Amino acid sequence: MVSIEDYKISPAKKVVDDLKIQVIYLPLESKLGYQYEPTVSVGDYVCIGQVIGKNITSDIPLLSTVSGTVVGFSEKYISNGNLVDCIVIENDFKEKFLNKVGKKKDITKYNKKEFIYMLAHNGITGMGGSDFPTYIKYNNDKKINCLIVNGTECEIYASADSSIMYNKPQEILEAIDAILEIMDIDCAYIAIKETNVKVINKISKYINSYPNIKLYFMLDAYPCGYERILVSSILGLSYDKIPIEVGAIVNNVSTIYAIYEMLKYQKPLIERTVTISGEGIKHPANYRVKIGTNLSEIILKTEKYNKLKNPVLIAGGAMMGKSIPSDELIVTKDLNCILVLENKEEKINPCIKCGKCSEVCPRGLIPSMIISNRNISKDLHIDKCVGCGLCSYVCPAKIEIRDIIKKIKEEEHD
Amino acid sequence: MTNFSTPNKTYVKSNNSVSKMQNSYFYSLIAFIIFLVIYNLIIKEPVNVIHIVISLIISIMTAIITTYILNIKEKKKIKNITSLISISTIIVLVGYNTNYLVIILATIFSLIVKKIIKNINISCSIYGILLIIIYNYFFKDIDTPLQILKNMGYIGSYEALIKSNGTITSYLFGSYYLSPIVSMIMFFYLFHKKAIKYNLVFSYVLTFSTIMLIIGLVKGMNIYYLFFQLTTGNILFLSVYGLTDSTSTPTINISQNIYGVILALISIAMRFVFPEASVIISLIIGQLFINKLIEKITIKLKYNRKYAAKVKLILLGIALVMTIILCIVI
Repeated sequence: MVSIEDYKISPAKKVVDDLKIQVIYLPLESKLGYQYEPTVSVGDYVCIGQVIGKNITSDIPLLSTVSGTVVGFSEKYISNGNLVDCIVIENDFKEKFLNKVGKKKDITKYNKKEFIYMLAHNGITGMGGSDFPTYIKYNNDKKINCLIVNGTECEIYASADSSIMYNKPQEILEAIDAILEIMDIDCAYIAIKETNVKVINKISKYINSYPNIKLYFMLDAYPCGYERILVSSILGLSYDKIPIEVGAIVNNVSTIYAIYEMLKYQKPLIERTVTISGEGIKHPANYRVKIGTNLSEIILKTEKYNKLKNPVLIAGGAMMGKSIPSDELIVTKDLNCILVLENKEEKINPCIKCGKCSEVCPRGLIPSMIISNRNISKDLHIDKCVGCGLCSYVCPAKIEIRDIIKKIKEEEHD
Repeated sequence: MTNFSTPNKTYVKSNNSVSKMQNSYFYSLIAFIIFLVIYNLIIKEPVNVIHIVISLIISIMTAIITTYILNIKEKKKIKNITSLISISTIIVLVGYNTNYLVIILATIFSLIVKKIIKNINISCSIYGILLIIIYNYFFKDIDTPLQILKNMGYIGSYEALIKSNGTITSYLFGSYYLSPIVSMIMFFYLFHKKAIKYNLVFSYVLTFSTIMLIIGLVKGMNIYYLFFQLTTGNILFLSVYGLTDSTSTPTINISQNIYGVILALISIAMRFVFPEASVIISLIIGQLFINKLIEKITIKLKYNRKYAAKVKLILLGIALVMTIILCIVI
């Protein structure tokens, strides 16, 4: 892990949640490539939580995040940089829910089956960037011993999770406690960076009421939020493919908050907190917006961009994010951070074999060797690369190692 | 709608760079030269200072002209002056009491080798240093501390080894050889600047020290034998500046450790045959052959624990056998 200076917004800063966005775009393709068949047509009236798209391979439906009228289909960018078809809904701001049951007093009163069904049908997916369906994590026969709540947010600009933990500590703890009860899990750890003092103090106020939930302080280094590092740091265990192999489940803080709203209000995943920051943004802040919000509309409603020589728009963080050609970018469930940064051109030198890339690689790869020995990249375990970008970050020759490895990987798969 | 450029890259970079790493080496060598000048002014004769400065100027000029001539065909411009100065400085530091012609020849030879081998940087200076050592051996009639040790059959009392050549302080600050203490300070400076493959130095010096300590203790020579061995033959200086060139050494930690151990074993073996050239010979063998060999087995070393353990065991066995033989033979 490497300590990198971060540029986070203080979690105490007010979250902007009063943007009234007129038009919502709901992509018919997810980040992971799940394709949805639209079940509505132009002119249909839809309510919040209504299924507007179905996928054959996944139980996760595409849900409307506003009430209003379907006005058409349009192509927009999503977080992986793909231009995808979206269902366009004009918001009537009536906030009509399809099934509004009301507030549930005790959110632990669900059984496993109900919980897993709800996760799937309320469209809960990994909100830390993975977009992986959460119900799949819980839907297995293996005993879950530990729930790890990832609140580390190691991407250097991202602060959406911190703002949720700071503003909703009781809700987060209540949701974790409910999950422990429902899924019969022994304990939970909330992983937070040791330097995130404001959030630690806030959660510490309430955590004593929950004996099975503990705080775990992670080193302030990148990529401390990487699932494998979390599991090995907290439990001292390593696994082959997924954490459940060692009896652990890892959920992001935002996902836990979405689960809280689902259990408490039967509310599907319709909104999320997203960090909009970087030197190109006049007033960096965390925004609570509907899933399907177009970035260009947020910018129009707030302030315009700062003038930069060669600005680059990044969906995701500065380390792992993807550059997007225009701000017609849709806030999806997985999108936790949007950045506008200056694209600094740096002279690339030949590799000097310093070995720094292999020293920092969280998967123990030898990136410089993979690049110079493409024909044996499989023997060098190229498939293990998670694209954290640490190799590119530390490279003194300024070689874009992560992207070269990504290309080699793609060539191999082709 | 606003449009943006779409470069595929990591958008945040560390402030470390190749030129910064090279500059760190350059500054440390300049510090070495300054130390040598001051030390000579205080301790020895001021005549030496003039000789060092002139040698340095001559070597740098030679390096620039040689590089220009070597690149004439390819019409390449000289881009990295600091690297050339570093090469010249290493040569001058090791051969600061040699004559100018040898310095010129050593500089030219180093740069020709650099041109031929291609993937080496400042460590090409070891070839020039070899030339200086050969010249000194054949044409200079000086009894160096290592030569004295050889004449004594590699065993000597504290008086014979240390006192006859100076004091402990003079060994630490450099009497015949470059100062081990300044070499260590520069190592920590380069380590702090993240410019050095520190594993190489650790494993090399640790292996060398351990075996020398055992030999010293078995032969009843106490710890001063290790002190003598570590402070003579420019072992610390060369392990920092000759051994750690990133382009010509293994990439990953385990390979670097093995490389360091092998080179230390060669150095020890050579110490009892060609004492003055022992380090340089091991560095050259390492650069030309062992590096390539280790890079070939790096994948196995990294991903096959059993294989790595076997290699480590074999090395440990060789080190043990070598120590026993040396203890018997000396």
